[in-house]
Amino acid sequence: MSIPPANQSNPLKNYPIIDELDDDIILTVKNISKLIKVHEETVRRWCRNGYVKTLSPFGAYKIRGIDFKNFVIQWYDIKDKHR
Amino acid sequence: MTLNSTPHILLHTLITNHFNYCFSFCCIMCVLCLCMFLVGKDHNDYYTLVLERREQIMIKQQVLTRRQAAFRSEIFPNQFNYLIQQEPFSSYLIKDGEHEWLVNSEVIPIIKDYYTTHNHSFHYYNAHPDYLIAYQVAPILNKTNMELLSEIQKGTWDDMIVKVPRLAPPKVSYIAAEKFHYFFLKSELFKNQYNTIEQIALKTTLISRTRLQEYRNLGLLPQPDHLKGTNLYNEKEILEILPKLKMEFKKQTPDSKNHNAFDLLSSEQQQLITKYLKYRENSGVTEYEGYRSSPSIANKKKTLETMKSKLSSTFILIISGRCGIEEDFHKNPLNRNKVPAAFNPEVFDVLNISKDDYAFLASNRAPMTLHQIYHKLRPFYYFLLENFEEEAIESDDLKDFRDFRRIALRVKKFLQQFPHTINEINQSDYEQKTKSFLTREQMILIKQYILEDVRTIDPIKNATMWQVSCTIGVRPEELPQLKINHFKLNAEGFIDQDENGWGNLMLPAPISKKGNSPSHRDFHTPVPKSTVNQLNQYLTRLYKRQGENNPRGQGYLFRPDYTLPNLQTKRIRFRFIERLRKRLDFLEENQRKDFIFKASRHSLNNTIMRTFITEDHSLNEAKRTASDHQLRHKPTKTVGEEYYLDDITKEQYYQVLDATINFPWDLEKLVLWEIEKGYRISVNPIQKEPEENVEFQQQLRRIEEQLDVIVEKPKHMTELQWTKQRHMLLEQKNMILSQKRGGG
Repeated sequence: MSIPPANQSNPLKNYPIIDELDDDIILTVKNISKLIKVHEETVRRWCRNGYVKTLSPFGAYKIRGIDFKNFVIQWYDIKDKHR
Repeated sequence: MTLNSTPHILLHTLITNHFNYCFSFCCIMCVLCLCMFLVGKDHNDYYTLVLERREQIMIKQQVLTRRQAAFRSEIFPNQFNYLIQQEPFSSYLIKDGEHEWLVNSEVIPIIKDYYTTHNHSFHYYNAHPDYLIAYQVAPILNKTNMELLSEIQKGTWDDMIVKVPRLAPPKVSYIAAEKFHYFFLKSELFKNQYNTIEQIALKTTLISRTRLQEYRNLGLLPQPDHLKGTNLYNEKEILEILPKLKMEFKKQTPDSKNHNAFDLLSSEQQQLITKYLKYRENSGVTEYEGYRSSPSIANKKKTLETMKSKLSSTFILIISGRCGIEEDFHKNPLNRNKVPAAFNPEVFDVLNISKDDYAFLASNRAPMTLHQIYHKLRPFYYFLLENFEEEAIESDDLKDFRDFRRIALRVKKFLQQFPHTINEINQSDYEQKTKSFLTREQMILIKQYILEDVRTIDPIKNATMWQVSCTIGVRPEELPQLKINHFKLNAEGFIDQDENGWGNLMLPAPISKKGNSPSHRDFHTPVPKSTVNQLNQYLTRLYKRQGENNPRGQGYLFRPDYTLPNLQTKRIRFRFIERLRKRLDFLEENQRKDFIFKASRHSLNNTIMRTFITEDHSLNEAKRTASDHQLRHKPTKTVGEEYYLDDITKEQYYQVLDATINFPWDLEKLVLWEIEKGYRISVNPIQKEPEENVEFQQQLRRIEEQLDVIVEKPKHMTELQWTKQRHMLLEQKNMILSQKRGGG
């Protein structure tokens, strides 16, 4: 098996639950909270503060798979920098 | 007679009255009391004993107290008390002592029956929508309750009244003697004539309830005198005047409510302007200093109004300038009614004008505006001077002639200041707008954009206007005056189509540009099939909204209010065009900025002229004339063509239009149409798919359908099941795609 080049590494390979999400899937707050085991209000706060791109601007947030994955990648990158 | 007796009184009466009808009963009571007194028992115990004993005796003799009787007959004591004193039952009352009344128990079933029957009927009439109780009717008839009751007792309202006996004493003391409830039959009372505003609003589609209430609050609705102060109106009368009222209300614009410039002038100045306008209206010709005014005015009403407003506002500016007012107060709609204190129209005499006055006009105005003012002022002043000259010549006094010469010179000097022709104006002073000519595809795209416009109230109306202008070439200023019956209609009021699907528009001269651009005398203006469909779609909506009372096939096509067929739109504001400018990526930036509604008409001519007809080359020669006919221009012909050449035939005309503008208004169909006509080379001809691929495609479609179904989490799956399911399907899809690529 060939080793993938460094710039093409999958940042989500250690997180299979998130990695399995496809780009077009539409997630609700409840779905995300159950998948990654955080409180629903936490997810809502992400949406409200604009950390995650949402399909609806107010309430009943719906999030596309790709937007959620981007958020997760960005989130962990930021955390790494702080470390 | 007291209605409530206390136990002490009762006891007292029992002891004192030895010789009444229950003599024996009292004797026993006395003995009992005495015995108990002697034994020394408590007073309350004696009292209950007395009552029990009394009741036993009363039952024997079939008499009850009123309270007992009330409970036995299941009626409230106060109601029973009231009823038992009324006429049929009062005979069952038995006097027992000075203050006490007893009731014969035989009355209980009778009174119970009476109570249930009348209680039921009271509630029936009270809840019935067709009946109104008297105290509700009194304010409607603008009468007091007492007045109405006295009329009822006199028998004035007997034919429309239902009486229900009262079962309880009236709460209000002034009708204590009243023994009935009165219910009025609504239909008889109003004779289907009067109704409330809210109910009237339900019976018409012309107007909403809130708007009708607004009219009422403004005092616009007539009300019969006897109903003043109530919410009742004559229904027929209101429904009759409503269309007229709505029309007048709609016509009231901010402009009409405020002063206009003409009102601010002195009466002398007003007279001069009115005299001139009347002269022009009656085809009067002014000829002075080599200038000759046109004898006929196109669109008289509109043109004369423009003349009046232009002249008046010019004079207002001069007066303001002379009075030292710098602000254009009469142009500002916010303070048009606030005339500055310094403003005095008397400082200006129309004939006493000088070249200095030009400065007041020129200071804030563009050269183009001044040029337009000049064309309005010149005929007016020449008309005055012409009259003045006649008077001066006829007069024997030389002074008059000298005066005339002086004035004429001053006017001449004043008018000389204005730019006479456009050539005198610098190019930089006025911006020339860039025209845009659209292709067929772009016309359709713009129609789609108009339909997608979320800010507009009526996108179908706007889209219809656009398509009508693109294919029939109706000018923007003609659109408000276009009527439905200018089109050839069928019996149902829709646009009629011939065997090839063409409609027909007969645009009359008076509504066309300057009154001389009507449809062709013989051919009229053909309407392409897709435009007919669009118009009919719009008309279906219009007929539905205008209501059944308005006749079909009449009235303005693009009216401001669907329910008022004869109300003309003052001016169509093409805001929807301004809004879509940003979306026109296919145009240059300059064109996008200057894009106007009339681009539709420009594009029509351009489309006809620039299309090279491949089907029949001879038609290309008829294109110019056909285009002129369709745009209702006067055909440009050489002398030879004009006098020695026949006009194009109807067949040729229709063939040219068919080959150029009779295209489907659908992007996909347009491509096919253009390929068919030879205007577009098919870059990607549709190829037949090989049969092997069909199976792959079916599999792919099936997977995609499944993916679509679970794009959001179904209820029966958990989050993990759902994501895994999707993951699996996507893997299958990728596998099929890779197989297909490998096979291809």
